[in-house]
Amino acid sequence: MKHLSDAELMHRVLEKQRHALEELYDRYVNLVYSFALKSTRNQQAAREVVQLVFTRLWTTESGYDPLKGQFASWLLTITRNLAVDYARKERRRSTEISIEPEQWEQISDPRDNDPFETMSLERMKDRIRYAYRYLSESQAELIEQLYWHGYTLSEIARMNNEPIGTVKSRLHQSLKILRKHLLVEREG
Amino acid sequence: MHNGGMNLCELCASYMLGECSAEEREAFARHLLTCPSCRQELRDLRRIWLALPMRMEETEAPADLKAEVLEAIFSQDGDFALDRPQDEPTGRSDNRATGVYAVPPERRKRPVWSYGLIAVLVPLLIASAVWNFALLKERNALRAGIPAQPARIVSFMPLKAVNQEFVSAKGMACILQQGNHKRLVVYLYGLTATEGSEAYQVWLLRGGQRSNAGTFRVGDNGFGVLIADMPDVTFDNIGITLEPDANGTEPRGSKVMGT
Repeated sequence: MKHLSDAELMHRVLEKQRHALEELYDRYVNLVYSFALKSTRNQQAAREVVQLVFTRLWTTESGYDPLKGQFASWLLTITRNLAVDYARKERRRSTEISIEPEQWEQISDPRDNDPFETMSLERMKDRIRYAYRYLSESQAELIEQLYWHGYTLSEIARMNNEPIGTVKSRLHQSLKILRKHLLVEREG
Repeated sequence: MHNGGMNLCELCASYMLGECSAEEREAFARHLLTCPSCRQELRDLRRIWLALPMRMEETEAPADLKAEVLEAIFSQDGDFALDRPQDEPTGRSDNRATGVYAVPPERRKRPVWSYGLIAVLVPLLIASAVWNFALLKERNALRAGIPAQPARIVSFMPLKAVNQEFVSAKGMACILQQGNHKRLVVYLYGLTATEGSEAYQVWLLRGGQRSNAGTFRVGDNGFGVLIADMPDVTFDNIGITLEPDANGTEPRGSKVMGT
């Protein structure tokens, strides 16, 4: 199993091969757990999210398409959905999930030889940390609430006691800055 | 919300965040088809979104979590562990039963023969339970105090009659694993009783090669079981022949059943 790619392992998981799921668990549990812990800010909740994520991998029928991007990204999209959903339920708010995997598929349109699609996780880490430095405190806070804790824009507007238009425009600014510094390789 | 005067390009972020109304979503999806810059923006937003988690510090998951997570998942699947061994050749997906029992019925269309298989499987499990019990006793006698590991099915192949004469015969073959030890179990019913020195013989087939996996005799009840240590060969299919005696190294009689 060790020599198999993530995509091959996921294919075997669809065939209900337990060893394949175990191997994926070993490879990615720290990533999933770290995400869940940051999102839920609670160890027990993070454990439950890890359970939900790997149960989802075991029961999914759609599987992972390597042409659509990296396995880690796909897994983290699932993790975020479940973590955010979990956090929202905990807050007794809407249980709507912001990005469905199907939607992720819809919006993914990778092109061949796109350096971003094949960038290593380490490189991506460096890049996003670099880009983040350009965000102001309020912009970083917005991303934190939106991305990690799954608040909607209108919830954030309510919490901050400001018009939703202001929040939207701050989001646009934040995304613009991140795009500029994150995707500099393609543009520059 | 949306009206004709609205600039659809502004919906890009809300669309990605899933915060559009249904009409906005539909309008933006249509708009995407004709707006290359929105397509590019959406692609960029998605990349940002996918890169965001990479900023987090990685924390090691608790060591006890693995057993908890995997046990919860696999126990929902019942007791059938239908992993195929790593070295088993692929390309047998047409007649493999893997997954049939592991997936809830509404998830996958159940092939007609699988109902027959269930009928076969129940007595097989009883047979293997008896066998496991015997094995366990034997092991415990040999190595008192060392618990034997539970056996599980790692590969499962239904067997069908290939000969008009044996049309009512049914059965299955599986590989049982216990610790590192693998055994081949073949279980059949509806067979014709063997006479005199006659024996049924099990062959492991790969390409044009056959290797003998063992022989068994059948009484008037038509049941036949073979349990053998798993030979160190890979195979694609299993064939069963009726032989004049149990001493052949090549098939001489006619093929009765196969995968």
